[in-house]
Amino acid sequence: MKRTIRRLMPAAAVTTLAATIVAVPSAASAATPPKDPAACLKAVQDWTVSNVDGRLAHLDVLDAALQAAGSVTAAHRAALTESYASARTGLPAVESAVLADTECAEARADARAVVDDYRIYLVLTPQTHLTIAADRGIAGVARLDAAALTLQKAIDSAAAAGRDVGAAQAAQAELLGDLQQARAAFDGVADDVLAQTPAGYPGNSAVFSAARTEAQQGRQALAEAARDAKAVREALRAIA
Amino acid sequence: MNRTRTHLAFHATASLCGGVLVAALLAGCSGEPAPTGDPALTPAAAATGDPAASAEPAPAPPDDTPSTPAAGLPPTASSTTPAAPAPAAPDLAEVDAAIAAAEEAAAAVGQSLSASTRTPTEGATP
Repeated sequence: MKRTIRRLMPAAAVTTLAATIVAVPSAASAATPPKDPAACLKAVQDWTVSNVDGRLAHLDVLDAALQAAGSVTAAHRAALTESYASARTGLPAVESAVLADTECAEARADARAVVDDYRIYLVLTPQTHLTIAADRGIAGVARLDAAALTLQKAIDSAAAAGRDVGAAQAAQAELLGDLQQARAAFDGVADDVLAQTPAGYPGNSAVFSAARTEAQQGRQALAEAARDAKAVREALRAIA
Repeated sequence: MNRTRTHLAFHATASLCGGVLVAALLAGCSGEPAPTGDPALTPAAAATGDPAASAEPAPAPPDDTPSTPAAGLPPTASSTTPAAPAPAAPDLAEVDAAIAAAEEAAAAVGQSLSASTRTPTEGATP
């Protein structure tokens, strides 16, 4: 009896582990396959076609967003474009493989690649939008960096003319501080998210979450910097 | 005979000296320089006898009045020129454009952040 239990326990553990792996992304949402083998196969194939189509359409949305984003660096754009191309080639290949399968279990095993090998929604989507966000933010910081130089020249000119530039200089200091914060927040966000892979999911969710927080902080600092620049501008107008 | 030659010599010398004297008086009254035979010689050269004296004009006395540059020429630096005026204020139109661009960037970042969370669920394999 004890020997039987010892033999059965590892088998039960393996069964539990296998059930956990198959239930992607969660056991609660896993669909229950039909008991009829033919119906099972058709259900898996229908699911595959539908999900590949949906992901290909979403790739077009991501690609359009990338194309519309003018501030993305060439390296980041190339990395994302390569991921899109890989998915556009790979997903139809998975679909073809599933449609060629004759056994439900075999089709199910192949169909898992639609989700696990590409992670269009949970990896590539945040990669795309967070990269666009960070690079756009950095471009905005660069514009205000140049504006800050011009504003400082205007302050210096007004000071040389004997004007009271105290308010303008104080706003300028705020501007430089907020620009520094924005730059620090946006810096590295795109590289961090682009380094993630579908295989790293769900562990890399924390990376995306942190990147989102940093980009949000950068956005706030950038908006504040724009207000600072306006304040400098107004202060200079007041003493002109 | 000797008296006659002496008398003639005396008159010739007196005439020559008188002519020179008259010429000198005429020059002084008219203010014109004495003709020297060299039109390039200035009064200074004539006075000194040195033609080189006419090559360089006498230096002008120091003048505290800033010189006015010729039209179309930039002012020249001078030790006697007052302190340079304050540099011209830069054109701030570029700043206004940069502020607008930064505001647009901040808004775009916000939209991308929202889009990064708006994604379909992966779904479960059958």
